[in-house]
Amino acid sequence: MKVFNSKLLILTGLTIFLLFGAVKLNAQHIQISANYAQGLRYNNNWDLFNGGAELSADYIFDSNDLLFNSGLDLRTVQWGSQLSISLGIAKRIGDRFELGAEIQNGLALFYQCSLYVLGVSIKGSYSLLKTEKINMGISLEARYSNCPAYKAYGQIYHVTELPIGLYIRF
Amino acid sequence: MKALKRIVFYSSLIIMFLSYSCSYLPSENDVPLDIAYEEIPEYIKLTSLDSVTNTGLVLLPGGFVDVHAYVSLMEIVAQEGICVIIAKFSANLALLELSKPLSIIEKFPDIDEWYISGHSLGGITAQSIVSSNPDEFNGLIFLGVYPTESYDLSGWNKNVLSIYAENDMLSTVEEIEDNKQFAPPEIYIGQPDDMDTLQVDSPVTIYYLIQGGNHAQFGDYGSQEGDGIATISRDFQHDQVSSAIIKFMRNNESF
Repeated sequence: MKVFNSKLLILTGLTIFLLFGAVKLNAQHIQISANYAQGLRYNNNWDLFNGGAELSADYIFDSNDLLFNSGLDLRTVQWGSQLSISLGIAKRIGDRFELGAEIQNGLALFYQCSLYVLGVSIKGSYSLLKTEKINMGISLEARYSNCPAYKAYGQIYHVTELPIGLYIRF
Repeated sequence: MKALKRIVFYSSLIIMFLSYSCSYLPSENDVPLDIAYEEIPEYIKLTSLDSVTNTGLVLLPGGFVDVHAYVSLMEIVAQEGICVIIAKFSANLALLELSKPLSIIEKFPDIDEWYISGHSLGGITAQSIVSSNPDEFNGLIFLGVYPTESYDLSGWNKNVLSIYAENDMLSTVEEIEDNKQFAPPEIYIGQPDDMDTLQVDSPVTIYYLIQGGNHAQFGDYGSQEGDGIATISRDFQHDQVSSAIIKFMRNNESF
C-alpha cells in the first residue's frame, strides 16, 4: 500500500479531469477554489494549528438541486504536500446555500516514494455573487485526512481540520 | 475550445507547482531510549532524559526536506542536555513562515540561551531571522549553506559557526569562500576539538570543513539531486557535525 507511482496518479487524475471536460453536459462549470485549513485535531489530540493551504480545480455538474464535483486538490499538510483526486456531491438549499460531502484519494508527495492519502469531508458553501456567468462564494469544511504509511516516519499521520476558503465558478 | 484552453491552463499550473513540491522522505528512525521525543504540529522537541541545560537550539530544515530527516543528527546534540527544537513549516519550506521560530522559543521561558541553525534553505531563513532579530539568539550555525548579501551579518555582534562539506555540490566550498564577507570575521578549524582552545576576539565566524561529506548527509534522506558523492558514512558526518555544534555552544561565551 505504501509505494505508489506519483506520476501515474497525476496522469490518471489529469486524464479523468480532461475526459470529464470533453463530455458535453448541460450546466457544466469549472470551479477554482483556495482554502486555508485550520487544524483542529491531530492523532488523538485536540489543538489549534496551521493546517496548510489548498488550491483545487473541479468540474461541477449541475443536475436540478444536486451538484456533482470531480477534480484535483493540491495542498500543504502535516506530511508536506499532497495531491488528491476528489469526488463529491452537494445539494442546493435555497438560492445561495449548498451542503455536501466529498472524498479525496491521493498521494503525499515525496521523491523516493509517494504515500497514499485518504480524506473525507462535509462542506457547506454560500454564494456571495451569482450571475449567469459567474458564481463566487465562501465555503467551510470539516475534513479528516489520513496518511497511514507516514506513521513509519512521523508521529502525526492523521488530522482533522476546518478548511475555510473562497471559490469562483464559471 | 475556450473550456479546453482553461483546462490546459489550470492543469499546467498544477503540474508546474507539483514539479517543485515533492519533499525528500527521511529514513525510518528509532529514537534512543535516553531521549524524550515530543512531536506536535509546530515542531519536534528532543531533550535528554539524563541531563538538562538552559540552552536551546532551533533547527530549520532544508527546503523540501521532511523534518524527521534531522532527528538522527539532532538526537546526538540533545543527548548533551541541549533542548533541540526542529521546526516544522508548510510545504517543508522554512521561508514561508519566518516568524515561526520566534513564536516557538517564546513557549520555552526556562531556556535562557537560544541558538538557531539551518540546513541549506533553512540556513538562509535562519540568517534572515537573525538579521531582523539580532538580540534573540546567542549564535548562528550554518549547515551546508553560506550567508547571502541580502541579510548581511558582517556587523552582527554574536558568533557564527559554519559547517560545510567537501563534496557538497549544492553549497560548494568555493561558494562558502566567496560569501564569507557577509558574516563576522573568519577563522578556520581542522576539527571540533580545536574550539576548546580557540583564542579569538568575538564576534567571529568559525569555519569547519568536513572532508568527504556532502549536502544530503547533514540530514538523513538519501541522496539529493545535484549533490556530490560522499566518501564518508552518514553516521560519521553526523558525528562530526554534532560534535562541532556541541563544542561551539559550550565554548561560545569564551570566544
